[in-house]
Order: sequence, then C-alpha cells, then structure tokens
Amino acid sequence: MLCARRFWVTAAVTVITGFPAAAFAGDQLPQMDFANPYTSGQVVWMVVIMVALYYSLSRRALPAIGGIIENRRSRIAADLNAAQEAKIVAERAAAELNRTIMTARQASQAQIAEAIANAKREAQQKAEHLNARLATELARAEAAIEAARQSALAALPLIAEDVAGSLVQHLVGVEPDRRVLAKALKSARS
Amino acid sequence: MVEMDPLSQFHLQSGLGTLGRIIDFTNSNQMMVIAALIVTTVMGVGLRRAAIVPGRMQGLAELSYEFVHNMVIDTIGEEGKRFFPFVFTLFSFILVGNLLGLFPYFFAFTSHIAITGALAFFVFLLSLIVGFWHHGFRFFKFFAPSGVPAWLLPLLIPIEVVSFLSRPISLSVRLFANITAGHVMWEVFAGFMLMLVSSLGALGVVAALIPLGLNIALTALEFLVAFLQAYVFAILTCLYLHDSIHLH
Repeated sequence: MLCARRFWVTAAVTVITGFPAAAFAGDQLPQMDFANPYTSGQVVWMVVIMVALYYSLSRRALPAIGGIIENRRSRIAADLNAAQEAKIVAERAAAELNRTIMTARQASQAQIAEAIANAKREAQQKAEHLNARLATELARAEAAIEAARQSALAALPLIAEDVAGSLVQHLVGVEPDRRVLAKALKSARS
Repeated sequence: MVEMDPLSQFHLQSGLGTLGRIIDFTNSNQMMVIAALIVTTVMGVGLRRAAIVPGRMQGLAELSYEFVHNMVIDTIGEEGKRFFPFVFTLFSFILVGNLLGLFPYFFAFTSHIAITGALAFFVFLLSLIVGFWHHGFRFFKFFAPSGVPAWLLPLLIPIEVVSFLSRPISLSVRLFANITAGHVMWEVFAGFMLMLVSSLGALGVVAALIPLGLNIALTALEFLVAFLQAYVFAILTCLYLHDSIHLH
C-alpha cells in the first residue's frame, strides 16, 4: 500500500516536473543569480520566519486544535456511553415493570384460585352438613317405621288369637282356652 | 514592440524600504512574513471559540490539522507524531506561499531555488539525523535492502546511494521548477496578448482572446499545482522520514 503510493507519487512528480527543470539552466534566471547577495540572503530571513512559525504552531496552535478535536472525540464517546447507560437503565426498568406485572398477575390468579377453592370447600361442607342431617332424619324416620312395624308385629299374635278364638267359637260354638290357642298358633307360625 | 521580460517577476529587491536595505530583508521575505501571518491568523481565528461544533474558520483550521496529521501518521506511522508540527509548518508555509504567488504583483518565494533548496536540504539533513539517531551505523543497511541476492549488491548499492543523494535535489527542483514554469508561462501568454494588440490592431484584440483563454485555463492549473506541490513536498518529507525510521 505504502510502496504503491510511493511509486505513484514519485512517478507523477517525475512526469510533472521533468521537463521544466532542464529549460531554466541559463544564467539569466534571477533564481540562479548567486552574485546577488539577496539570493542567498533571503534564506537567512526564511530560517527566522520559519522558526517563528514553527514555534507558534507547535507550541500553541497545533496542541490547541489537537485538544479541541480530542475534546470533541471524548465528548462524543461520553455521550454515546451515557446513551448506552440510559438504555441499560431503561431496559432494566422495563424488565422490572414486566416482573411486577407478572407477580401481580400471579398474585391475582392465586387469589382467584383460593376464592374458588374456598367456595368449593364451603359448598362441600354445606352439602356434607345437609347430607348428615338428612341421614340422621332418615335414620330417625326408619327407626320410627321400624318401631311402628315392631309394635304392629307384636300386636299380630293377639289379633290372630282373637280371630282364631272367634273362628273357633263360630265353628264349634265353644270358647277355646286362650293358652291352648296361643300354643297352637305359635306352633303353626314356626 | 512591447518591452517584456517574463523573468523580471523573479527579481529580488529589498523589501520594507530603507530598513529592509539595512537588514537585507527582501521582497520574498515580505511574502514569507505575510504567509506566516496568514497561517497563524487562520489557526488563531479558528481557535478563538474552540467550539464543539466548529464554525467556518475553525473547520478550516481543523481540516488542515487533520489532513496533515493523517498524512503524517499514515505515511510515517505512530512514531511520526513527533514530526507532525514540522511537516505542518512546511506544508502550510509552502502552500500559502504558492497561493500568494498566484496573485498579480505578488512575489512567489517558492519559485526560488535557494528557498526550496534550503527547505529540501533541511529535510534531507533531518532524515539523516533521524536515521542515525534510530539505527546508528546500521542506517547504512538502508543502501543494501535485505532479500537482495549478493551478486546484485555492487550494482544496487551505488544506485541506492545516488538516488538517496539526489533526494534533496529532486525535492527542491520539483517545487522551484513547477512554480517558476507556471509563472513564466503566464507572463509569456500575457506578453503574446500585448504583442498581438500592438502589432495587429483591432484584429489583434480578437486574436488576443486565445492567449487570454489559455491564461485562464492556466490559472486553474496553477491553483492545482500550488496545492499539489505543497502536498508532494510534505508527503515526500514524510516518506523520507519513514525511510529513516523503518529502513524501507
């Protein structure tokens, strides 16, 4: 890259400057008139002027401009950094917000679930309570029925005795002995 | 016939009146002072506000700073930073000198071989000093590049030495010849115009439009040359310094 550029610069410069150099090799050129003391004398003043220019540029102007450019570069870098940091903070805040929304949603869902569970449990308890009450009432009713049945069953032999007694009386015309009758009924029943 | 001498524009006289005659201050030195003042003024005015967002003058100052700075760093490398103020001084001095010389009746001090020779010789001397400072006597290896077959060295070393020694000559003659040639051609064409008008009358006035057009075209070329030669001088200075530091 460097070599290529060097070649082209040298080549271009040779072509551009090749021809006039030869044309001015006469002694009538003021530039070649070294008998004139000014010809070489101007160089002395040039040295003074260039040294002054060099000092004013290298001591003051150039470092100042370099400082300005550096300052701008660091300012831009700092601004970019600040923007980057702001972006990170914003992203962090957004993530925080998302997380908050998420937890709120989860909390509300948990509450809803709990409420549903509570309602279910209450309903179940009520149903159980009702069932228990119904069961006891059923049991009581069954017991009453059973008692009624038992009492009805208990009255049955007496009725049978009465019926058998009256049947015998109608058929035979004699009132049978109660104890014999009961024994006969008992043996017939078993 | 009109008297004319295209070379009289290069005559050195004393500047600054009587005082200049006493201290040997010439008309070319006057232009140098003006050039140096213009450079420092542009830089100074550009720096006055030192704004983050530059104005026009600050933009100019920063543009020239970065242009030369990039040239120095790209050509010499990071070590070139030390030479940046020197190259900048050289470049701005030559550029403003070339441009000032383009104005009528202004003196183009870069058209003097004594001036360009002194500048080129100083560059040559500096590159020698830097070379010996960096490499000591191994700097002479510069004339025998590595990787060259031994039988070629007797041929190559004289060529390298001659090309090295001709550097200050080509550097100085290039600038001097370019500026001188341009100014002579300007004056020759302008002389043609005067000759045509004085010898052919009304027809000559019309015919004089041809050298006038040529001079206008030449003006554009001379502006290009003014920039190009300042650039070439500066970049060759960088290249020579690069060679002194890196030995090819």
